[in-house]
Amino acid sequence: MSEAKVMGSPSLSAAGGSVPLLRARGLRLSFGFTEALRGIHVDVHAGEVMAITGPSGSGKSTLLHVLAGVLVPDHGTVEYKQVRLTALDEAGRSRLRLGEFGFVFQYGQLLPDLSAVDNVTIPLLLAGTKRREALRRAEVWLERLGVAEHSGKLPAQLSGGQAQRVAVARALATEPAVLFADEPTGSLDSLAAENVMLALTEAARATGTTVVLITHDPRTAAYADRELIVRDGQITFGGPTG
Amino acid sequence: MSVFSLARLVTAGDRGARIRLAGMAAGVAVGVALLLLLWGAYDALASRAERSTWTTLSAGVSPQQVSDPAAAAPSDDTVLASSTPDYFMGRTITRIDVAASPGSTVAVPGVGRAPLAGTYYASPALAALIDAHPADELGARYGTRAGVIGHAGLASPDSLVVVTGTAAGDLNPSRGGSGADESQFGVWSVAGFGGAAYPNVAYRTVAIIGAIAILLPVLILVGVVTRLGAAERAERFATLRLIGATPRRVADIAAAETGVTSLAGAFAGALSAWLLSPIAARIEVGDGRFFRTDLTVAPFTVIAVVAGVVAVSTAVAWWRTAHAGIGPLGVSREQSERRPAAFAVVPLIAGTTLMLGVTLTSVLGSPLYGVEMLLVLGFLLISLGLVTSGPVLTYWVAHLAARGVRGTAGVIAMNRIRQHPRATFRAVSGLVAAVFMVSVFAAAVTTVTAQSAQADGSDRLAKSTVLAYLATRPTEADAAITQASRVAHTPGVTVAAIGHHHPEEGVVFAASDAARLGLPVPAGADHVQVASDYFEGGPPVVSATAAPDTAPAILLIATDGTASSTERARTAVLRSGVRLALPPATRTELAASALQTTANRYAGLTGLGMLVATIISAVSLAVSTTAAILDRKRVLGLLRLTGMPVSTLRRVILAETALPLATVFALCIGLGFLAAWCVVAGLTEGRRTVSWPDRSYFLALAASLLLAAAAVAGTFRTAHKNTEISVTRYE
Repeated sequence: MSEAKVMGSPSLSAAGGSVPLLRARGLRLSFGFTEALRGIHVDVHAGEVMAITGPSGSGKSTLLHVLAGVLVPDHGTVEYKQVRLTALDEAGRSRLRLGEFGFVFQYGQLLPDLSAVDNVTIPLLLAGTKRREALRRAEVWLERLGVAEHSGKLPAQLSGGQAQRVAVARALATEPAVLFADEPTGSLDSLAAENVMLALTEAARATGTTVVLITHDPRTAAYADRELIVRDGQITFGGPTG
Repeated sequence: MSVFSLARLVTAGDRGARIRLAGMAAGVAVGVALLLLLWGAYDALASRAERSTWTTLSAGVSPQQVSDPAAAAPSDDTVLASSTPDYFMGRTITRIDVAASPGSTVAVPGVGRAPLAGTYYASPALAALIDAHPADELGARYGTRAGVIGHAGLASPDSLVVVTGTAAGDLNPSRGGSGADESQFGVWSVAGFGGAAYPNVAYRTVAIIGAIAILLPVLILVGVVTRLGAAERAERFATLRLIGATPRRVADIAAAETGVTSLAGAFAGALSAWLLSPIAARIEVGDGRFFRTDLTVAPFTVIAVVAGVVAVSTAVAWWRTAHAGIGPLGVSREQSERRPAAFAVVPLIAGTTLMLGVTLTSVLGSPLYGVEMLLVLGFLLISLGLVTSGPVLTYWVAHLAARGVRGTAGVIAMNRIRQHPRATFRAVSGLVAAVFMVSVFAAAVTTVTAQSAQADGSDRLAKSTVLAYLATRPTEADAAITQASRVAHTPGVTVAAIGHHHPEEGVVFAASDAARLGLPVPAGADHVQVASDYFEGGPPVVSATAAPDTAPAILLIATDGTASSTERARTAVLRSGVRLALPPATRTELAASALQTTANRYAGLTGLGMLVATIISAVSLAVSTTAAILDRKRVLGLLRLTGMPVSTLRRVILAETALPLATVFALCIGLGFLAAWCVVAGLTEGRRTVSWPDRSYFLALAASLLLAAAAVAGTFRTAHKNTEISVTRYE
């Protein structure tokens, strides 16, 4: 792995000369007088697990949201498979997120009225899969994440770790190219966090899914292939983990 | 720190909480204002009926019908009076002719001492009409004006009433009143005038049922708004639990927050009701507008309503919070509702059985004791049963539907309904109550609007022709003919024809008069017989007949068709001295008079009731739908963030509203018709029934659904804004 300065700001390229799956250049974004991103360059390559770490308020979640096309930067570009996300309108970015990306959040992402298996079917149904097929695939993913025996339970009947594994199953069920995980273990105890990260990274690697992971926990970051440290809206370190 | 200080502390810094509390206060204000206005209107209808029915002489003090008024001179303790309708430009005037002794102690409502012979008191609206038109069109009918009738003798500022003083001998015992009310006929001796709030217990029953039916959506609205932002509030309370507050302390804080908010809302509602009452009084209901004082609710009632709403909402907030299971670990785990128990349908079944049983025994000729109260009880049970069984039925339907749904919106909505059948049904319960009420009243009024209008043709009696049915004795025939000929000289009158009774049926006219009236006269006939149906708008059935030797029966006055000519002709008849059996009127006025019954006045009220209930329900629906989205805004926002289109969110909202509504819609209509039939047939021992309602009912149903659709569509924007990425990111 090599680290290179691009346009005077630190960036990382994981796989040498190969074309990155996701490429961000010169990202700047302010909220009022607060500069959340101050000229960030990032390359994310297919199949890698990348952790973005940093203290609270450093801009790491904002960076994830910009990379995923949730937010549009004030300056700079984000390209996914050489398609410029920043040039797409909201509907186009929504379609892209639905078709190409998966998301796991810290908590509260499962619909409380739907069973685990129904929750997993939602992105599949949104993508146009027939209900019967969606249920079949959802069961497969729950099995893969080790929560098949809880498929009929409501989120309120699951432990935090089980609920996060269901959320990972839901995010991976559409077999996205990139999985964005924002503090996926933030609300879990260390054992549950370890189980979730193990399940997430194993499943992602098995399907060749690229993972962009936000965390402030070094033990969670250790599951990644490489780590970016963000501080005050800038990347201050980039390199392989542990 | 006191509970109130804590409640203030946990809401003061949070803009969302302040907006939620403002919404709750506004909703309570709307509910209380409506409650007080409806309460005022309910009382006003009764007191107005009491003020207007003093003209029904049979309801007076010690009433006695008098066959020969000339021989029964009034004493100081009694007056002789007759009550008849009069007409002017299509409007009905209530005319009371009173003969009183010089020392009479009988007070006429709104007048005091009875007017002297040849003078009259008119209501302000009638006085204005008299002043605005030539005397030969209206004023000359009554004599010299002595004064204006006060509030106490009038139903409404719009009432047209005249009290004329007359000599006892000039009162006509054979003169009838309104064709629909035989108790109005003739001359009465009364020791005092008195009105009744309700003609009989059946109307009182119907009024109570109507009040309940409108009250229900109002109470549902108050219930809905006091739950606004339940999820957001639970989150704050979880934080309090985390820092050491006991469940009871948290419930106290919730009660304090709701109590203070609903108190502010209730005060605002009471103030709004007071400020709005002059505007509400201008709405024409039944007999016309209200006097402002009619809608004024007694201070004790205002205090009771404010205290009741605050006490109930506070107690419910305390109970809900205490039983919400808010723990210190936050509210990320939403609790499902308990599955609704099947016994919740018991009130519905009990109410239906009771109403049917009571009605059938009444129809079969052995009515139960207290049939009115039993019907009210049955109606209450059905109303309550619709609200309690709605969640059960909704759950069952959602349970079945969840298996068959295909799309994302269907899966989300059906499962939401299955887990929260009460909450989802609550959103539409106001509308359900409104549809039920609309169906009850729409079906009930068919019993009084069954009279079908006859088709009109060019050969029918002209609508402007004045008919004066006569009570002439055979010995007065020549005098009547002379009096009628004087009427013929009135400007604008083209024909004044006297018809005599035919020994078998109908009326006999001279052939020349018949021809001038436009009737088809058989060739060579001197006299013709005209079938009675012609005078009520039927086709002319004319045949030749012999010259009559009977008393005059009718005076027909054709005019040039202008309203002024018609009124001049009417005034001329009234002043001619001819002995009348009925007031001179056109056939349209006579038909309208026959329909001016209490039943029809009640039927007219249903339109207003339907409007009020539907609007309140649409507001409840909009508030509930918004609350349901706000309570799930994080999870729906995250789904939108992952790419779920906003159109899916709209479909979720629609499905969550449509299913519970569709589940009980047909049931409400069916039960509404059944309840209407039970009330009508039960109270009349089967003499009356209901039939299929007219087009306006279906229009009202369509309007309810449109309002519901508009209310739901109105929430789309809120749903869109609250699940936007920028909002979700900061959650």
